[in-house]
Amino acid sequence: MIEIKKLNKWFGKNHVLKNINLKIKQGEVVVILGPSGSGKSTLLRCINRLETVSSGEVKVGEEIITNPKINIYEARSKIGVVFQHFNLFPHLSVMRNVTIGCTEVLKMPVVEAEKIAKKLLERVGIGEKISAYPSEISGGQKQRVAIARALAMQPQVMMFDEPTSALDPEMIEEVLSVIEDLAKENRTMILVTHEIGFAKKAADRTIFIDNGEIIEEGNPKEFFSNPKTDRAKYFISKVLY
Amino acid sequence: MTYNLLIVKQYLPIFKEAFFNTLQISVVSLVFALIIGVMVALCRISKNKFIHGIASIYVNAIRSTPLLAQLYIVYFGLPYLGIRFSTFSTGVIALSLNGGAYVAEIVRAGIQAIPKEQTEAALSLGMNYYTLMRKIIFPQVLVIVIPPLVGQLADLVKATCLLSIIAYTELTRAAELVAATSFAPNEGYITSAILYLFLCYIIMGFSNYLEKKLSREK
Amino acid sequence: MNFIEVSKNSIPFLIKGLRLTAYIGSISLLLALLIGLIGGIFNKNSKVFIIRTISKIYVTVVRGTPFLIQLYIVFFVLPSFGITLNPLQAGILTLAFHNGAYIAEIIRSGIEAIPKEQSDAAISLGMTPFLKMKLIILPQALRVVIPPLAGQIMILIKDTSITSLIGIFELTKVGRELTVASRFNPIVVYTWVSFFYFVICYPLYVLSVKLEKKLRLHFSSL
Repeated sequence: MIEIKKLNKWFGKNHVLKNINLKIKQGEVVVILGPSGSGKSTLLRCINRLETVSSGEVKVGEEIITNPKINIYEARSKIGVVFQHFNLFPHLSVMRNVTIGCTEVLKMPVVEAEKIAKKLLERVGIGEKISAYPSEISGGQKQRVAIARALAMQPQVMMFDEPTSALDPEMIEEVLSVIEDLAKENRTMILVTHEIGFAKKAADRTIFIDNGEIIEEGNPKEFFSNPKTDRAKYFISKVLY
Repeated sequence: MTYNLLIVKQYLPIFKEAFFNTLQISVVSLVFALIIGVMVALCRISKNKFIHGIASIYVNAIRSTPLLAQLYIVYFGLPYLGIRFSTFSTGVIALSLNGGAYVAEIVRAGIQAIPKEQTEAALSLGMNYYTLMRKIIFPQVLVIVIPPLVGQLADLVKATCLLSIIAYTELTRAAELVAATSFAPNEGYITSAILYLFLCYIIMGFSNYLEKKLSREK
Repeated sequence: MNFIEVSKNSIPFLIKGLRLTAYIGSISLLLALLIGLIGGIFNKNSKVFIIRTISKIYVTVVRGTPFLIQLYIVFFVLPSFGITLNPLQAGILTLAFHNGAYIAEIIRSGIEAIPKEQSDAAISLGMTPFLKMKLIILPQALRVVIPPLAGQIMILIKDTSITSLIGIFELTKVGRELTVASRFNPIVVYTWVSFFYFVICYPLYVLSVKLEKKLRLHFSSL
């Protein structure tokens, strides 16, 4: 589903991503772990070209994202993104937040979009808040709306950039259970997260990135109980404090 | 389009005089506007309803009416009451009264930008109102307020153009003279425009310099 | 002549002038908003060199020279470029052009105030820059800039008084004629002139404060 070849990214003189090579299969759930500043978020942002790569190739499905000639807008509409800070549109209601991509980008008729939106919002557990505005709901609810918004586009891939890092502890569970649910559905998902428990439960593969390089990847259970590299061992010892 | 440098050269003395007149009346008006503005700002934050009310009426009346109308009231109205001022004084009066209202709003916003906690902390240390104002509030307000006040100077410079109507020889009147006597509106108005731009450019440059200097001191 | 008589005789004329003020004001306001919207989007921080340069020059020149000088240039200097306008056209055009620059800066600052995350979310849904601006950025930016925008509208209305100097018979000019030609008491006349401006501008100010407070409740940029 996703192929990344020899991806390099520089921010000025900073070599943020170093020769990343990665293949993600259709239906695979991948968790990317690593210390702050290791380039995890940047990697995600390169996949839907929120950031441009300095060199290398990114392919999602049939589209070569890094090719400047493709219709990047169409390609992006097939990649769903959930952000750390939710990034809901504050001037739109919850319902409108979810339908706006469908009606304006996918050119779906409003009635159809609202049907889809209603189902998704009920699925993530906020059916009763559809006419509320983002300022009126809690962080956990906002993030679930954000997930519904991404799902409404019926994407081929779902990317989550630290979806629970900005939430109060008591709301993390409600969001994680929604994501776990999605993981069971044979969806291609990439998550950047610090939630180890979730990684152990729901991920098919963990990828450990440090300082812009992929250090270790493999089965999550093995990774956490038996890390092979020193840097991975160090990271896990700090994280499992 | 024609722009004859010879004509400009011929009238250079007038432009020079007008340039400095404009600068002079702007600075003088700014000084008075600052005095009026600070006093009015303090009235606006006063808890005394009467003082607050009068100050608010002043500020809102000035800001909701055009400077031209205010100038006419001063220039035509005062003589009707028997009071006669020079052109310069009339200009200063009108510009100061006008500018004072805007300065008052700038200063008021600056004072209210200081978090209440600062006042509370200072008062808890036993300071009285005056010391509080002088040592704590005022220095911080100054830093916040100086850039917009320098902008106010630029606005004043541009506002002096209306004084051409009362025959004060500032940059716009100079342009009119050139336009009328030599049938050279281009040489008149474009030259004035360039001089205004130059003045504003200097003022803005000064404002940037001040801002850099003040933020370093923070 | 006492206050009431002067008032009674001048008010009908002043109201005629007020009508022209409203007419000039509305047309130039619409044009200024249009210019400002375009200038705010294609602004001086654009990545495109031509847009950046034209925008910088436009804003610097307009903000660095008085409105009256711009009016005189449009009315007296443009003819030598082949463009001759009557006073009304010159007045409306200059008002639009002048205030358009300020409105452009206001809208630009509103657009730049919207957090980058909003742009990220819009882009990630597959929105084109046009859709992003239309659906996400501008609606939020315009709400943010209501106070300075209302202030600029007030300035435009007050600037209409300056167009009296090229012979347009709006409110201020009528007032001047009444005091000069008919020799009415200037204090009474100009007080009424100021009053009419006040009646238009002050409610605008109050409304903008109320509107801003109301919209602030809806708002948190998360």
